Amino acid sequence: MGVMRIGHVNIRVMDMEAALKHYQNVVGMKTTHKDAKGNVYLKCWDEWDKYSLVLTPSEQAGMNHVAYKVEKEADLDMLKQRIEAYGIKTEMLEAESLPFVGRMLQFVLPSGHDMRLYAKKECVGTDVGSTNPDPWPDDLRGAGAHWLDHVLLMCEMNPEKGINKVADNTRFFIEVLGFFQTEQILVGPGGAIQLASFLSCSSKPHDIAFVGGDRPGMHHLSFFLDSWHDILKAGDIMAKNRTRIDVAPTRHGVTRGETIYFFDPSGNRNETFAGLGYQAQRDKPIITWTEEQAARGIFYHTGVLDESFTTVYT
Amino acid sequence: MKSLPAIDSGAGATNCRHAIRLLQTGEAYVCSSAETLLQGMARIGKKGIPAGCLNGGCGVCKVVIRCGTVRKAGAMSRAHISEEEETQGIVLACRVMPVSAIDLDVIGKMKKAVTRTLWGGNAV
Repeated sequence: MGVMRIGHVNIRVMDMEAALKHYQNVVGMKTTHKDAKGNVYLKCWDEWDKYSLVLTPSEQAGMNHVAYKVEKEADLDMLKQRIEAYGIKTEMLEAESLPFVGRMLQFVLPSGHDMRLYAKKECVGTDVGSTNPDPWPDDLRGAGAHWLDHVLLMCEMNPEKGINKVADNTRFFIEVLGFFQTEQILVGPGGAIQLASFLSCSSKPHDIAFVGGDRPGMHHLSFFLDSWHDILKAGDIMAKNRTRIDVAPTRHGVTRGETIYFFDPSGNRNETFAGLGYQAQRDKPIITWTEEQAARGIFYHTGVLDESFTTVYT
Repeated sequence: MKSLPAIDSGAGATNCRHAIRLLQTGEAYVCSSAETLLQGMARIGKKGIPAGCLNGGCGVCKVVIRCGTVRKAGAMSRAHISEEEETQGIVLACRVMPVSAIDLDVIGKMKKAVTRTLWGGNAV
């Protein structure tokens, strides 16, 4: 029941041609649809629904909305009730308000981000199909990302004013949307402030993450790769394409993921993320990273957190 | 009379090297007319202008051109540079290439909000 996984993210790009070159040639997605308003829809080879990324032409970078897929239509009605009972207004958008998607439940997270839930999106199958499939298709491009894995949203945090939207979002996702927490970073006196929170609705170490900042925004959208070697190759692809790399290949303490951070041509941060880390389960003890080890939680090898990593986002 | 700093829309065919001065600190470096002010700085390991996404989206490399002419190399997010600012020579250093020697002041900075001290691990 309930939420299964991230379905798609809709981001703004300032140069569609450059964005398409990036998401197709570097990340390795394929365009599956373009609409009359100039939005472009793309998917990764290992995804079966019509798209996981919507690029919207804009004069700014950043995220418009993030959508998660629920298992059944009835889940939307159930979740609508629960979200409204929690005190958050919702709107049920009619089917096809986004192409190929059924009705969508729209609401604003405590952090101010626009979120959607839906149960139906046209299924077009993976690039290797579902009958006697090969392990990978022959026409992989770029990093050959398997799927859109998660997003990390920056949430307003101001301890002096008692504002912590990381904690507010975490509570909402657990109590209302049925997610469970896998890891957290606690800071401040007695570790009283939840600076970062990692939540799962599957068996992956995270399906969404929240980190505190001075304003809401999108820190990154992340694409899944199989292995450390795929991460290295992705780094090569980025160098060949002169992609701006933010953080060269390394490992996270949090989630144990292997990673590269880089920017799309509009400055939206991307991640290629490999390794399923561990199996996340609802009864697994929550992993806590303390303030003095927070940087090692983020970048395990160096234990150093570049200032721009937490302050630069769209 | 000092002329207003200009943003040249011309093609800038030749590849020249120009002196870039950061007036607030007196730092200087040489930047090719074929790379952006920020690329030219970052490539030789210099600091001075904050470097973020290098792609016009995050806004941390905001500068004001006090003297000289630059050429726009791509879109600058309107969340950070308004049309009016752009006419006044306020630009993102990652999106402009020098057409002449440049004097500039840095406006953008890494935010020092809650995250800086908390993530740094030695505060509170």
